[in-house]
Amino acid sequence: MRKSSKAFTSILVAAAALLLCTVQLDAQVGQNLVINRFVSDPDNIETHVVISDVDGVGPNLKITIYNEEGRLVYERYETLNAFGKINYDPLTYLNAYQHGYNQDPKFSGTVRIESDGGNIAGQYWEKYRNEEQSYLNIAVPAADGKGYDKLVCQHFVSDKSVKSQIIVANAEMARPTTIDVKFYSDNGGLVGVEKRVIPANGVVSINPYKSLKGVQMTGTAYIVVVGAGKITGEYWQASEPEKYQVALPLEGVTKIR
Amino acid sequence: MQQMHRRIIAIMFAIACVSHGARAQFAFEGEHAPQLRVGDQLVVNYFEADPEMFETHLVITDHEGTGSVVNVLLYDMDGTLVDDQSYFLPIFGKVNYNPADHIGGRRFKGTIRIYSDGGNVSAQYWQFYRDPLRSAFNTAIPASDAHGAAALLCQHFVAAPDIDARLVLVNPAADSAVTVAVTFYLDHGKQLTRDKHVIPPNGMIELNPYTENEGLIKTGLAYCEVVGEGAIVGEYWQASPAEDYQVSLPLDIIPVRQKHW
Repeated sequence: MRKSSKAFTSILVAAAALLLCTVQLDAQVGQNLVINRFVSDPDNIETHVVISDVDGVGPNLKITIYNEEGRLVYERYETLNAFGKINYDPLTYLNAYQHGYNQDPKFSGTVRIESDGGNIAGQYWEKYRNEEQSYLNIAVPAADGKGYDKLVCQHFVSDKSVKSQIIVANAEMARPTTIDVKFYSDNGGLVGVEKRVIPANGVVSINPYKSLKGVQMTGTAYIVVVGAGKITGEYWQASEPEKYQVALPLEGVTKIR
Repeated sequence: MQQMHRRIIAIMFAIACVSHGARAQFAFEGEHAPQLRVGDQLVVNYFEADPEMFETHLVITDHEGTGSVVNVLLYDMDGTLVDDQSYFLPIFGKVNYNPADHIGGRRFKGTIRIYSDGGNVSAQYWQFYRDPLRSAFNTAIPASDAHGAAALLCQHFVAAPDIDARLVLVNPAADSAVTVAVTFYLDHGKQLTRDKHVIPPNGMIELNPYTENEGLIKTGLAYCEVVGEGAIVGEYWQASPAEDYQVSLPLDIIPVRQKHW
């Protein structure tokens, strides 16, 4: 009896370990990816979406682009070669689609990529056609479409001369998500809070300088889902006088204040 | 009692065996993507000190509110310890400083290790050029989780003489070297070169795709896979002096492929 009880305990531990392994296995790859900020500006910007098959199964992909309000603008199906990748400019195909694009080709939104097979990884590159604006070129990794309920923006700048944006996309396809954006000083003191609702498949852009009513500071921002929902995000910072732009993924965490 | 045990085990196995596809469609309540770039051990893969050229910033954030002590260690490319600093993080606060200030204004290239005693932290590395004419090369990149992985993917590289591209690979282990096989492929999957490199403990290597592929001008992807035991972390940097830009991206942790070597 004691032996069988021990055996059960061992099996239980093994099962728990297996369960944990399964949940934690895929880290920076997934079957659903989100590019949090995509800009359509055909005359000025050349964009590249890079998607790679990391499992070698050659999955079919559904690539969709939504505007900031979560309205579908573009949808395309692609098949990846085993361990291969696609690297293309969605603007090449956007013209062929309706959804109002032809009337207004300038917009920003998100790209959502779904794989029907193995895991994929993605990147987004944005290059300016005008050489004088090449300092704005950036590249960012795609976020895991499962999303998080807590994100950390480790460093933001709130300054009139700096264009900072905390970009938060709703990872949910069917429901809006409410978020609290809490701004803290470098020493950890709460400076401001802003509540926003992100439509399904939508994205919001939060400028710290505007949110903090013109307070000039640097700090850390915590983005927390209120109620249910999942989010992903990035932080972009550009300075026209200083001629630079950087873009960073927000850290998805399980524990914050 | 035994029947209850059996039921629990059966349920746990069923949950564990659910495919990733099914998980994606029927996400469990509370399930989310695993934490990325967060932990009690982090690596800034590429750090360059040149006080006349750069102003660098290391940002370390205590997002868990544990007020932990962080030890920041600078290693050169061979894995030799060059500097060691400790900081008390304010609760839910951060430190933001220039690591180059502590190495006497000398030129240096290497990696930064961050050990947190007390809680998980996250970190970023910002590299700003002092010359306003070179500000287009300013960049920022998140630190990697120092546990690393056995396989990393560089999704997009450019091999060209006028592009300053580098694959940065770091061995996070302090006690043993790691052998890594780097295989370059063209965009459509054709294999280019595969070379093995040994990275010393705490060390780092830089690979230029143009040099590695013997002057071939192409774009593609690169798989970086550990041979034998060990783990690696890494980044990809790409700059074009002619086009006046620089980008930096973390390499993606991927599942280990079946190896045929």
